[in-house]
Amino acid sequence: MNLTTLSPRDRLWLFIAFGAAVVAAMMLNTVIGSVPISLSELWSIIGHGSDSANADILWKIRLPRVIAAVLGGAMLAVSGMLLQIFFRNPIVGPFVLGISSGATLLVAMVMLSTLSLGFTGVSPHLNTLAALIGAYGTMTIILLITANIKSGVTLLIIGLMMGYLNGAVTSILVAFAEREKVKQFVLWQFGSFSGLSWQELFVLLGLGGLLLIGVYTLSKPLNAFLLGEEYALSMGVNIKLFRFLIVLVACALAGLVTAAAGPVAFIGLAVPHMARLSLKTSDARLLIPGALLLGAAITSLCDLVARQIFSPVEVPISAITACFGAPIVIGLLLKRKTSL
Amino acid sequence: MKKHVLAVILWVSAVAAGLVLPACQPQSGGSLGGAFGVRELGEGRQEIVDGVGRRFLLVPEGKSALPGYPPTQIITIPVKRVGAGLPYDIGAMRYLGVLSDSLVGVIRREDRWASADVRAGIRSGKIAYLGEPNGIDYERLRVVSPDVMLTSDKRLLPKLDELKIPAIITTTPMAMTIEERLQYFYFLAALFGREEMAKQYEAVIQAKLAEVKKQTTSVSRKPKVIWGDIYQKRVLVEPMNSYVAQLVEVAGGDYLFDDVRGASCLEITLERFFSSGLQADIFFTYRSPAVGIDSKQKLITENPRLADIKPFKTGLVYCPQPHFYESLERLDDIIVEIAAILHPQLYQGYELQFFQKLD
Repeated sequence: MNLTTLSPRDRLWLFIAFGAAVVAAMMLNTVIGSVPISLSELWSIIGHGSDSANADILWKIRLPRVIAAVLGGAMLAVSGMLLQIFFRNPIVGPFVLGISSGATLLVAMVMLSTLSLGFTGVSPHLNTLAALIGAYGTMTIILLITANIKSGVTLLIIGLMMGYLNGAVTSILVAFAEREKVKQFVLWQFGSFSGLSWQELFVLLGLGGLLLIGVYTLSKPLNAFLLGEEYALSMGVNIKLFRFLIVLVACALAGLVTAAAGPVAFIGLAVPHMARLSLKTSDARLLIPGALLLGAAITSLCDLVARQIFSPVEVPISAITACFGAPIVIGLLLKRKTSL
Repeated sequence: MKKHVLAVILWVSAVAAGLVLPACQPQSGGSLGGAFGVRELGEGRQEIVDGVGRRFLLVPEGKSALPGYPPTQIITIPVKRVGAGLPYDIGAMRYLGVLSDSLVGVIRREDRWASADVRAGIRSGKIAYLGEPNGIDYERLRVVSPDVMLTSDKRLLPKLDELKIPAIITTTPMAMTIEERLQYFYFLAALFGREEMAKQYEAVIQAKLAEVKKQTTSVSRKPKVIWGDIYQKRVLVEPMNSYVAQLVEVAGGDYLFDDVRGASCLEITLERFFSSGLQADIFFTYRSPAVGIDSKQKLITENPRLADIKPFKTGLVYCPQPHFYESLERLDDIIVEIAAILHPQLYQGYELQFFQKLD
């Protein structure tokens, strides 16, 4: 880790800038939408309440999306950060352990076969539930394996294999599905923070918030882990439990977001790099809040672009996150002229 | 360093341009020079342009081909054996009077076709089953060896070229407007030597469009219409340049997604759908009993945030019957049906043939 350091004062300014970016992104997302709502009306709806259509749009559609994008981005970025530290591998993202493919498989089972199973009166939360079960089912298998395998690389390969297996079954389901159902499934696979209900948001906020707080308490052992397992052991870290906890929290964070919004690419892979390169540190105590704020701001801005660039037509958010994020990461790497 | 920054800026600009430019392309219907164009070359030879701009030479039996065309883009006419994958190809062939004699293979299983003649053909073995859209059975296709394969899938082209089966793409990257659909009839008719039928078809449709337009101009209020699909958390709508939006306007309706343009059903923001949904009198959706949606309540269950839109409360919701997609040749009747749905007072006693009401 050949990183030139920033002064604490500079870092403080950076954190203030990240925080301001999150607030600015949230405000922009609230003010701008495909249905124009003037600032005065917006203020009136929030301050005094209203029964108008625009009040419904704001409370039921726009605000849940704004909050979901911020939360989802923060959770994916922190999840990616944890796994990159755990595997000591910069190209690892939150979905490398098969979380996304597990969620996709269960959603495919529900979406592509509900008619034949007789579940035509599907609950609106069935897909979310399926994604959650798929993500956490895969996570449970990974955790069981983690308990018995020491090598991170082996775990990484097992994660990739899980992904292939899930992908194989999903593709079989797609091959036999009707066109209309495939359309619905493809739409889910694009990922979007659109249409989340307040209940779903409260689950995301409650569980996600707890997990994020929990992650911060892992900062010190994470720093020790970065210097090698032997070093961490000498510092009193219970390696077996620690590995289990990292995988559990990272998968749980990514699984929650995938269940709520479908697979959202790039954030978990690239934002940790952005945080590391801009804060010029590998200290997890700084990187975790840094990645959290950057993930929230970037995802929120990408969501704004996704719904406004061809408004009212939506563009998949993963396309935006990848198109605009990848060059930024490359730019930062070129600027530093150092390895990660 | 400056070079690197410049490179990143150029990359971002290129990506943005890549996103913006396709959406800025004109989405007009076909013309003789564009998709589905037909050009006379003399001595009965014709040149046709398929949906993706590939030029085919049509050569009457016994005549020689002209130079400049790859072998798989030279077709002897009239074509006698055709494979097809799209429902509207089937409808058009039926109108041209060549379906029963010329259709030798279809993509999709028997139970996924609504037309009785196609189903009976598959059952009897007269029409071969050639696999599914995402898994063509090339071996069976080779055995059947149609003179021409009508398809929407460009990915099939290299393999079909290898098998020496001419493949014509009958969809376009643009929206299929009414005008383009009429042009498509001329294009298909050229393959079978049925140009007169295409002319007749255009005359019938134009007359019906004029008749319905005249009949519905007298109405005092245009019903507000939206057309799209509701899924969990997401919505897709038909753009204003789609043929169904055009039909709604011709039938004296006010199509509310007049700011959405594109090639086919597009995802729009939930808030935009909700906003138009609050004003709409009629909602047409492709989600139907065939895919498990047999009531308004089922649609509301899919996306509860849209429960307050007008069609679900006091308005009307219609979906197509299964044979709608294979009935392009009856566009004149479909126009009348949409007008009857929009203005029941003008078409009293009308019985639905292509759509059904969801209660």
